[in-house]
Amino acid sequence: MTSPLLSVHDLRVSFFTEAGPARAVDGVSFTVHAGETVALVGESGCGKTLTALSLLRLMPTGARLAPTSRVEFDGADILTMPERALRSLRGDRIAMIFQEPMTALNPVLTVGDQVAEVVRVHTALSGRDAWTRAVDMLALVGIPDAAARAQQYPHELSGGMRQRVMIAMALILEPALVIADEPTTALDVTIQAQILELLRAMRERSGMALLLITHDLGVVAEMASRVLVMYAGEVVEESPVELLFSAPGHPYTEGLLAAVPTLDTSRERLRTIPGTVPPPTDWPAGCRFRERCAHAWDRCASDAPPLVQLGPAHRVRCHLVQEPERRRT
Amino acid sequence: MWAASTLVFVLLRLAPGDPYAMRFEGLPLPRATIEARRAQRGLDDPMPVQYARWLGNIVRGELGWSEQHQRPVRDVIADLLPRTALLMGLALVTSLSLGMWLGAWQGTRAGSFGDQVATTSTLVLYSLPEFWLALLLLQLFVQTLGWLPATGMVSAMHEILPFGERVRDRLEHLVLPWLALSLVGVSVFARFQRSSMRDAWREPFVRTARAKGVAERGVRWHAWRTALAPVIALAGLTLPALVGGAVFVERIFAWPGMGNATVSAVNARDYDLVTAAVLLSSAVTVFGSLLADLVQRMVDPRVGS
Repeated sequence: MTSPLLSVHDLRVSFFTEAGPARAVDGVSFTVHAGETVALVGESGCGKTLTALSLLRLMPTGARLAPTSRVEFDGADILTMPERALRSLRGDRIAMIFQEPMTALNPVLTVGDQVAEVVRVHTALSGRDAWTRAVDMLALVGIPDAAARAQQYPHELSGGMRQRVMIAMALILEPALVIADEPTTALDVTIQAQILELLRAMRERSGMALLLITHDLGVVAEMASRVLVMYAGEVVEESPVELLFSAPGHPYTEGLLAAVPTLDTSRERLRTIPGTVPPPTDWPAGCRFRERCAHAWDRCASDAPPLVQLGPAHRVRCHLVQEPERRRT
Repeated sequence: MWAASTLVFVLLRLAPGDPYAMRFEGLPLPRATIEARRAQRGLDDPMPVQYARWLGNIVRGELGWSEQHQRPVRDVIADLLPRTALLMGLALVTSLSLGMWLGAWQGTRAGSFGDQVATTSTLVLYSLPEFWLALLLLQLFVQTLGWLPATGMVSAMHEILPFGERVRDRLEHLVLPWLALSLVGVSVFARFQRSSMRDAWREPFVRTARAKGVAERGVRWHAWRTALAPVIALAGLTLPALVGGAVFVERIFAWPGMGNATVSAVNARDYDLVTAAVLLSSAVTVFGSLLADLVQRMVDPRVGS
């Protein structure tokens, strides 16, 4: 197998808070190969977004990276490279799509300007040529009458159009890796499908790798080939997408799958995972999911489970892997 | 504009005394002479009659006669205005540019040591009474160090100095009043700019700009572009000072400008000069807020849509 495009090794990001140190991302490792789509799944507060931001060193101020963490892209460590080298990577080789296209776009600059800026920053093209390219790109992501729309400001566009602008901005230089943080969450359901369709089309066109951060398993099923499930700052399961839906290995994954409403369950109460994600200042000892887990026994309180290899691409962080007889039915 | 000048017109006439009472007070002049002068100027007419006459003159562009200066008000103002505009213009440009620079710098590092030092200093300068600051400056630069002249716009020998020395003389007289006004002005603008820049700096689009590979300089520009509105509004409000002058600072440094002249005109009950000054100030006030509105629409497409 070829070496991965992106290789994240033991990523740890913490904050100092009044309640003590918060280990928001706590030892996350994974890889993304060229052209592959990997989904990062989990509830709010489990560290998905912070993981994504850390890949481009865009964490909020006050975040601290552990010195042992490495994020290798094309063989270079993003976490230790000089600012200049990092800047030439951002937006050119690795691009990001953010969740809220209203606040993620600058309200006082035209959308054409904001798309063209990526070109101006990374290429030697003149302002006029960059603008032409921006308009072409806006047309490519499905914005009708792109030349006129490019002159408009974000508040003059609909949510779906704004997200298309965001995507145009991310993809204009054909990056090798695109990180999309909840790209459809803020949109209407009908628009969500269009945006996913667009991302899929763009992926086929450019052969980019996609790291998709989402809490929506429907999006995962449609887009991803591999899935990472995060809980409380850790990866609790890594699995090919078919296996995740047919044979989930972690009780948390099972809970997420059970919480997806289907036609059969529509008349009953929706199933949920009891409780909430604990705050990052206060991860429980042992297994972090045990307080919400139906199968937990005393070993779960004392030993933190390791990430155990189940199959060629399937890893699970749960004691049930070694002691399946403990499973309660 | 009309309301402000009318109010001043009425108030001035309600105040005790008139130009002649003030001018000839204590002089051994026969009462009849003063009364004759009053009648000649129409000041013994009932107030509504005086008002109608005044309004008619204003509409025709006639600003009236200054009893205090014994010249047409138009000429008096033509003399005063450039001096005030020079001082206030310099101070405004300094306050605006330095204040925006300092405030934007602070906004991107809110809470840091540098920001705290700047916030404390601007707060102190902002709360000091202007005249007290002016007196402190006088004390330091004139009395203690003896570097600069204390008052006036030029020194007594100005007219006989060679050209280079004349420029130097003017600049030396300008420094202290300019400094007094600018120190306060920079503080005010910096405080406004800091708060809007700090808010802009936390917006998600700042992160987007970084994610695009924009250098920090460009990222700051992104944030600053959205943080201009309050500063522009404030600049618009400051504009009338260009013609109104700064009363305390002009008084302390004996700067012969509009602020100084207006105060002494009030004391002398120089009716026409005072109302003209108020008319001018209110005109610029209206113009200033219109201009601010216009500029805001230019830099921020969200305004007014």
